[in-house]
Amino acid sequence: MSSLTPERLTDLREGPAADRLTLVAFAVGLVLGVVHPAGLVAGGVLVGLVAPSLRRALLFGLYLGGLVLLVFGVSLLLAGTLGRVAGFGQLSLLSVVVGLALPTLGALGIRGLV
Amino acid sequence: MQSESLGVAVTLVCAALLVTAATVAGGFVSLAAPVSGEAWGPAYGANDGSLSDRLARAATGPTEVENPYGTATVRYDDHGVPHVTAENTEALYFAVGYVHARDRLFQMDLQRRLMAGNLSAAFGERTLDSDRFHRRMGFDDAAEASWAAVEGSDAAAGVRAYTAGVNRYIETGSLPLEFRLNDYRPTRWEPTDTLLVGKLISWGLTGDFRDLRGRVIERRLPEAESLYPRQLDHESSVLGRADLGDDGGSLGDPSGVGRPTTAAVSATGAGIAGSGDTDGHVGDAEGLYDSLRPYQRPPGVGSNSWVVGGEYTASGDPILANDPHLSLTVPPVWYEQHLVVTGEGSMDVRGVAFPGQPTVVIGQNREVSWGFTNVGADQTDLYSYVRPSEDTYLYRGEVREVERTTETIPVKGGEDAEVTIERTVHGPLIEREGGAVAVAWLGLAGTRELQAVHRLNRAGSIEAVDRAMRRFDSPTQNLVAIDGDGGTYFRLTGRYPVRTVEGERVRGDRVFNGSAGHGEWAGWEPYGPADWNGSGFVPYEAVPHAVDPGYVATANQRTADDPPFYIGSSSRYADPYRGERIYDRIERRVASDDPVTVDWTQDLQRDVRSAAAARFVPQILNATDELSPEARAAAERLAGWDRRMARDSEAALHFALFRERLRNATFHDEFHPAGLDPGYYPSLWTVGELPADSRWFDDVRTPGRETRADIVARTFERAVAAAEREGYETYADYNVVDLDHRFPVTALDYPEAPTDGSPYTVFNFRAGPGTQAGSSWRMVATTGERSVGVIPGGQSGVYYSPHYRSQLEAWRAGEYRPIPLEVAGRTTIVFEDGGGRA
Repeated sequence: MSSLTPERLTDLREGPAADRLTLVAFAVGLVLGVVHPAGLVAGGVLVGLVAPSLRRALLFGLYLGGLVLLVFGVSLLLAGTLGRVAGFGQLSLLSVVVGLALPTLGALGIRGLV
Repeated sequence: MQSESLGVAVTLVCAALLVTAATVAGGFVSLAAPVSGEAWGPAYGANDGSLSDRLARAATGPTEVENPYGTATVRYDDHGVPHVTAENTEALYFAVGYVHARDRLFQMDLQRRLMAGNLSAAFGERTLDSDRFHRRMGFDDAAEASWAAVEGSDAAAGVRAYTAGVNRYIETGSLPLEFRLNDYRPTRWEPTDTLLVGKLISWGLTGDFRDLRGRVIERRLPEAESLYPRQLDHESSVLGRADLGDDGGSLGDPSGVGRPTTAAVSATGAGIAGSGDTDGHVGDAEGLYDSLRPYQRPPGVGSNSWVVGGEYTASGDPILANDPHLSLTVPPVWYEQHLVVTGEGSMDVRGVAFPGQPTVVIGQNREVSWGFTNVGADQTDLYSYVRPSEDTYLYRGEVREVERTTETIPVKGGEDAEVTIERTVHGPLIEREGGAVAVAWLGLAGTRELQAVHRLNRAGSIEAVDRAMRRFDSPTQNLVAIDGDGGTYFRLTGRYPVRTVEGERVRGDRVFNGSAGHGEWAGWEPYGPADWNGSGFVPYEAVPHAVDPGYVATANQRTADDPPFYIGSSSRYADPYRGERIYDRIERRVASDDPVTVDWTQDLQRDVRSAAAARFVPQILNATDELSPEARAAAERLAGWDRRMARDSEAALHFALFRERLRNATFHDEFHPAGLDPGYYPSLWTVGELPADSRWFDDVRTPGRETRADIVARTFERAVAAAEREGYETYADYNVVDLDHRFPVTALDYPEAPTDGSPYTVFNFRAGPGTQAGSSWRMVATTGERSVGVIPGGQSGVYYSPHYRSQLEAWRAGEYRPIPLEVAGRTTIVFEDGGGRA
């Protein structure tokens, strides 16, 4: 536990509403993550804040990134362009890397501090 | 405490990585971020048939756009062809502008940037040379002149509506991927941008500096002059083999024109595009021409077209075929569209347009079908001057100032550059590498082809087509047309300048003495209006045409064996191989009991039998004594070859590699020491006609005297070795369609795959490492059966669209799809009357 962690935050992470809070953080993080590239970091920060440990923050970041990528894939599937986007080569690969890395860095970064 | 330190360390590392990502790769992150990345924006809504689009349409209806000119509806069919229906012409063109921008905005922007000299503002300093050239030529001022020439017409009103439609999309639509990748936005479309697109096409078909080429050859290798005859020795000219019927053909009315006099033309020697006016002052013509060659009409730009009258067809209705051979690009040069006006000025026309221009250029309406091929006529003259100083030139006895202005070229990622624009009374003064000429290109004045095509779209008969063509000032084209009453028609379009020197009519294949006022086109002023019906141009009635020919075929070969006035020299026309083959087959068919049908016409468009092979294979077979055993075996396979340039043929492969090397093997030894690169070599036809003991077959680097057999054997030996070296087994390994997007992102390129045909077959394809060329639109049109067509790629320029390259496979395979005048497809966009009309 970092000395910088506010007591109130510790209570939230370990309290009875922790699960609900985590769900809300993921929901808001997902919205942030799909509306703007910077939202991927902000969403990661949000889920990192409610993560009970550094290791869980890593997982939460990856989960959030995975969720954003899932939304991306489904939206492209519905738009009938998934195959074309996947065929874009390096840029598509970068999309996966960015999608997983930014939330994870955001989550780890904040959880390491508080 | 230890875990706290770890946490801080993790935070610092994460922060460092995020800052690094933002500063070093922030652009890529913005592009590639899932869902919100800039690169993926156009992926949503690119597929009109997708589930999300269907659901959206079911819930909220089609996309609604306000149209200040009236109501219109856009349906896209299964091939991505828009069927645009509107209550009036302007409402239609507004919708067309919107649709063009939706599907081809990057291409449109690139075209106008190229011609206006604005590429560097978007792409940086690598395009500065191009920008300098295009600004010096003043194409934007030429577009202004053409706009002034048509400004009060119905066509201009249509262009204004089209412009508004393009801008509506720019303001409200999804920005194409290419803009996002390169981080810039298109500026507003202007009516003159539409004219600039027209100038691009015209320049690509008639703009050249070949008059300098002749001067260079004359100076560096005068003995080669005979290799460039005024006419190639063949009998397959367009009108020479046409069935002109009883009273259908007209080579024009010589009484109104007059041929160039023998005395006047003799100054230029035999047939080479020569200096003529020996008192001109071009300076370093060689350096000048070499620096300008990249900007002139590229080789391989040709086309096929023919019409066969109803007396020879199964349906009794005439049939028209057209496949223009332009550069094969991604997306394609052409955009297919079906346009219907239901109210005042009703119209129903389908065919292909140039994105950036609203009208159908090649296609058909309910009454008329038409097509174009390039003539290759001379619409560019060059003038040299006596220059008392750098700032002046002598003109008709008086010293005039060179008009000079300086323009600033914005350069993306670099410092702005400046270009000095110089002009004389004849046109832009192009100075490079120590040489200088003024360029009079006919399209630099106020040409009116926009109006002509506007009227052509509405033509109800051959007579109406003929009237429309009176305003088709540039480029020079072979127009073929048929109508619903069984009429057939052929005409050269464009204006043909009358040049005189000391009162004598002369040819235009020379650099004129501008100081003496030689060769000027009366009534023509660069960047100004022109008196097209005055004495400076051949009268419309005197231009070759044919009314109701039984059949006529054009393949860029010479128009007529004895034209009534100077049209162009042999180097401007295509070798007659394609024309010869088309006429051979049409003549055989009409002489047989089998009538011409749409299916047969498609088969002729797919014809890959090479007349060039028919010419050269016997020469190879006569040279087998000189060959190695391996090459001899390959040559023997040629003996049983059907001369078809088919992808599964090994013989076709060896012949193509042979043909590619023959001119170099023949001329390199003389041309290279004279400083003449392969761009100066005579045509393949000329090589084929050289006598077996011609001096040009002798390799001057050897002590012996080589003949044709020696050079042919040597070339074939090299061809077989090249196939071995490259690992080629069949023609498919060599004849690969490899079309790349102008934007250097591999994903945007079309996939590589082989096809049939060659530059010398009717089914036309020019392979090679540079820009490939070939049939940019294949169409067979008639009123008696179904009409068909296909483009080399796809309708949409949007990478994510299912129509990005949906016709490429069919095109490669020589397949077609119906192009009926029936509105089809899902209603995708509805334009509602915005009530903005005055």
